[in-house]
Amino acid sequence: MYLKEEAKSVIDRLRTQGIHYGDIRVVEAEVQNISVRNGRVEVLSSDASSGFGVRVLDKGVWGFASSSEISEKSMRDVSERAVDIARSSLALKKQPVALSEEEPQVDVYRNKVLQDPFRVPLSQKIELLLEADGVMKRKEKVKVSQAWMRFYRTKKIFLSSEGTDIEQLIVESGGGVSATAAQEGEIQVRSFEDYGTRGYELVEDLYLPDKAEEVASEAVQLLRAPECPARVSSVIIGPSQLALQVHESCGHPIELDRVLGAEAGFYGTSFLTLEKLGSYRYGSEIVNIFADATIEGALGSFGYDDEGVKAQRVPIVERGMFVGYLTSRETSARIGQTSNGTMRADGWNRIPLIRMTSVNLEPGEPSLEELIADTREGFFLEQNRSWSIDDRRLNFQFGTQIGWEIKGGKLTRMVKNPVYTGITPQFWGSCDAICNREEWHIWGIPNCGKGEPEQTAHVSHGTSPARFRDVEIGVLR
Amino acid sequence: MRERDRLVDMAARVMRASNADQTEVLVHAHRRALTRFASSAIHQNVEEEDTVVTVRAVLGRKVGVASTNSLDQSSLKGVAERARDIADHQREDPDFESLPLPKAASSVEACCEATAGAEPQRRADVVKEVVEEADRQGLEASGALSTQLDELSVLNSLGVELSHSATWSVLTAVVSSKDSSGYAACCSADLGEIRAKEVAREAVEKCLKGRNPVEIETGRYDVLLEEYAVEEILDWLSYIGFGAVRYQDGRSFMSGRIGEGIMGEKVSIYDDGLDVTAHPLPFDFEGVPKEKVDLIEKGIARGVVHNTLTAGREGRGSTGHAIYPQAASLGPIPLHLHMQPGDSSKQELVSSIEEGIWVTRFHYINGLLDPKIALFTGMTRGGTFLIEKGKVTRPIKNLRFTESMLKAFSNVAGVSKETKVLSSGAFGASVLPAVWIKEFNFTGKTEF
Repeated sequence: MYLKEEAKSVIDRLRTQGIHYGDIRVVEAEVQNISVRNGRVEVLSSDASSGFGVRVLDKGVWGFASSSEISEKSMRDVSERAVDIARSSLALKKQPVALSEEEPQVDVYRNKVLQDPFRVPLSQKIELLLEADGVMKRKEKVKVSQAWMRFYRTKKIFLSSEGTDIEQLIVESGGGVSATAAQEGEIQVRSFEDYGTRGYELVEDLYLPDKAEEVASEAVQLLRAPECPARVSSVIIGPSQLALQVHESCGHPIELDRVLGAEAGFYGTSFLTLEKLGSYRYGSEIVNIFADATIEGALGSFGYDDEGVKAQRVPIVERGMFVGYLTSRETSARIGQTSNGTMRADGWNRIPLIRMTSVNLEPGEPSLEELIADTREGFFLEQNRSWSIDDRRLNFQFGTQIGWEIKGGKLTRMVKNPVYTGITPQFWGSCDAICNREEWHIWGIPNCGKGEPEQTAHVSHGTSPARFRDVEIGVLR
Repeated sequence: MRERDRLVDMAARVMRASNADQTEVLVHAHRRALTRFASSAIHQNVEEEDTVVTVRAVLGRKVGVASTNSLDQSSLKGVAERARDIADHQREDPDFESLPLPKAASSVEACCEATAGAEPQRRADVVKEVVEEADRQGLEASGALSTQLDELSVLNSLGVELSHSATWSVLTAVVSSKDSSGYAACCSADLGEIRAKEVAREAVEKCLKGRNPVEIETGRYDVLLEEYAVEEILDWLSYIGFGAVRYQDGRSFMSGRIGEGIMGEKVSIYDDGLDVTAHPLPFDFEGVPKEKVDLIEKGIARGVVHNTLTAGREGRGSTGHAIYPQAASLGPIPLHLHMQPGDSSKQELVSSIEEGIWVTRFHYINGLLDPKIALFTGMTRGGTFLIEKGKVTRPIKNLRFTESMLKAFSNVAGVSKETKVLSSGAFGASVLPAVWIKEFNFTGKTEF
């Protein structure tokens, strides 16, 4: 299927034509999706997609063409098309694109998988999901119960005109449960999900029926809970909600292509402009954030990015100071660095863009119990329900599914419909405690959007609960 | 256009390879190109060609779905077998009755050769017009020009056999200065109808007017929401409430309220997949002809859209709004929203506003805060201005709103007679006016 020799001849031809740089990615992707809702299997699908894309950099401008038809002729035609497209880009060229110098890589990479999810019988998967669904449906007030699993297998070959030759096989798994309880026109949702670069063993470790019991009980309890009050308060953000906070207020603004304006026409730009690198206080002294594509099992881990640059761990925020971007070969050259390997494409028909890897908040000292005991008054907020942030990633407003009031160092009553809002650097500047490694978990997020045509990336965030002071909560109506 | 017959023939071959009780084959071929620009230069320039064959195999009341984009004989046979194998492992779905029976669908002319055959140089020329307008004012232009040709054939073993081809082109422009930005966009089936200079001038004018924005206090203001902003709100309303799955679950703001007034009487919203100006699609992804569906009529909730499964639950017919079978959990969704225009021009609406805010568009709307009252939040962007004594006077820094859209659309004081065709997805487009809403709730500020 891969036609590696033909792919090599595409690269050879680009070299012969004097094209400055060219690469080809041949991709075979398979996705299995199983969703159960209210006791019936709503989606049971298996999707396969294969094709290739050729990217060329000629006279300082990019061109990209792709096709699902993997044949010698198609590869030749598509590579010529990519060159034509690049030449049309010359009509509006400003600064010629230069690439950072990188060592060519020749390697094979596979992530560790204990149990191939595509070999686990469908009936076993369906049974587990129906069991979890059944647990939720036992609660009378749960009107909609949902449970799901998704599995991805992506094989890719990457060849470049600089001699890079990489084969990768990445398997990803995940799943979740959701309970929607309703009463007198009100609905409350509780859910749980997680994903990683692991096999079916990840799904087994999720204990979905147990999680189903937990989310269903809490969804029902929320119907009786009082509204989260509106005030300025201390908040402890739970680990899964904090993962989304890191994603939106740190992960996106550190993408250097966004900083340089590449997404200005659609997804927006970033407040972390170039002059801030190394000298800007992003958060308090205890805030340390790093991006790491090498963590075994984390969603967003890989061997090499889609420019053939090896996966790396890079510092982003150190002792509260902003010290690093996520970069590509093109953008890193603009700031006099080499790439830190974060370019990924959503399939054979998309160009690689800078995407988050595993962007993580370093754990701190206290246990969660100690942190709550140390909080005289405040709220513990967990699991995202709604998310919104401005197009420079400053003003955010997040709703969470659940909250508990903290009084006298103890979790007390449950509250519903919590919302909190802030300005990114002020919010992270108010962080005065982060829980320890015991509470730390890497949360997989399989639906990060960016680019035109829109691309979806699989990323993750390691977090433990953290406390923030003087946060505006409950701003709704 | 591409060989429609080839797609139908391919679908028929897959059908013959299936030994399920019922089989549906959806073949979707597309060629899409996009020239993206930022900082007044083309920075991404891409093309793709793909043909995806999706099979829905039915065994009794068990349904399996599989797809492939490998079109050799063995892969096509393989995808039929895979779908059947999945169905075999499925559980009985008591709600599933049958794939749809054949019905005649209208034929809608939606293809334009200028778009289907657009070369990258042609796209670059259009983009250049935008950049030159921005350059003349010392401003930077960003945005994208896309062209696409989609060909869709749906066949099933009960006799459905429908095909449709459509082209579509979208230009978006964001023109920026150090402290302001302006947005404009246009869409058409015909690339020749994309008025790049007009789009550029609209964005440039907003950017220039937006220089030196002032901060204003949060609170309730009258707003003039331009068509772009209305589209973003309606997209979310569509997702959380106009489809039958959320409606039947009781999660929609329409649930249990059909026949009730839930918005103001100036508000009428309907779905019409046959409007030739708006990326038409005469049938849905399971081959049911699209019906025009009144969703809101003069403020009264009239109905939601259905696919065969959700319609069967209510003992009624599908309205022709099924989407891809892999996305079945979303249920049917309206892809061609229209809002009834009013009698006044946008300018006349502004002249009636004593104090208010002109909103060009929003960023990152989220409609999941409380779907039963359609409580949304989002940020303004692309040109936000103060309206004072009937005139647009000063640019203001962007604001966050948090508001129930049922409440907001109950407070509609005027609807413009002008409409724009706008598109945010791969299939479908909306035709929408600007609206004047009283007492729209702004709850937060940002720094720009």
